[in-house]
Amino acid sequence: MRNAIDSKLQEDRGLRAMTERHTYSAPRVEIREAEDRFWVVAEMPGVARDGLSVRIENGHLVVEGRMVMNETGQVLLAEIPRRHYYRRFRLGPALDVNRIEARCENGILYVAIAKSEQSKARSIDITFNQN
Amino acid sequence: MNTLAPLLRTLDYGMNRLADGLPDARRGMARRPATDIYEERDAFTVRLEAPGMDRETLKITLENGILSVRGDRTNNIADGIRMHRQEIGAGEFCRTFKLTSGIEKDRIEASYKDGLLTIRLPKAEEARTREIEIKF
Repeated sequence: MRNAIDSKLQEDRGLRAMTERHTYSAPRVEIREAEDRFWVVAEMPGVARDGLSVRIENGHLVVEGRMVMNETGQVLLAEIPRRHYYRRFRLGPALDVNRIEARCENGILYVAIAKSEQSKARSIDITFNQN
Repeated sequence: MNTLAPLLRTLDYGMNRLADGLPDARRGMARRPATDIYEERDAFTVRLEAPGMDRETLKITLENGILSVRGDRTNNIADGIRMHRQEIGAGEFCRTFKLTSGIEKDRIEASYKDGLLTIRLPKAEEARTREIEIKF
């Protein structure tokens, strides 16, 4: 009986969220295309630099981040899930995997992947007959 | 640790609208960011998930014992950018908390890091938990 009450209380206080179990979650993203590069923008609040990994794996871009929130005291409200973000993107041959840059600002990760030279859009000169 | 009454309450969605006085219809539609609240002996900590904000777009106000956190996220996309996928939303968010007299209102501090806003609300001396010595 006491156990039942305890677990009810724990649920009420949201203590479940405070355990080490993380929820795997795909971050929300934007994919933007500029003239010379693609941008993958991923929303990963609560992920600090040392909890973040951006890598190329078998032709895929992998972004991964683990939220770390060190708390002390009694939990009165726990709505923020402790997430382990993970998302993979297949990279086509039009991208240059050797020219990738990443930065993280205010919980948003920005990854820029350069287009390979031959895949850049280029305009074709038109020669007009000078009559 | 047991508290007699929570000194800090989140106002629910309906109260949110009342507290705001509904100056416009959109305000009532503002999203509520996910929030954690912790209580320690000498302070409460309120943490809100608000990625992608900057100094100009994040506001915390305290008025008549109501602590309001507001943000407005714009999604400025430069010219010449093609959007292939857009899952990240933009727009306003708002969350309000009612403070009681047990909070030292002049010593509230806030910081923003990694997309999380952390507000520390120190308890007034009389609201702190204190251990009573038992004489044997």
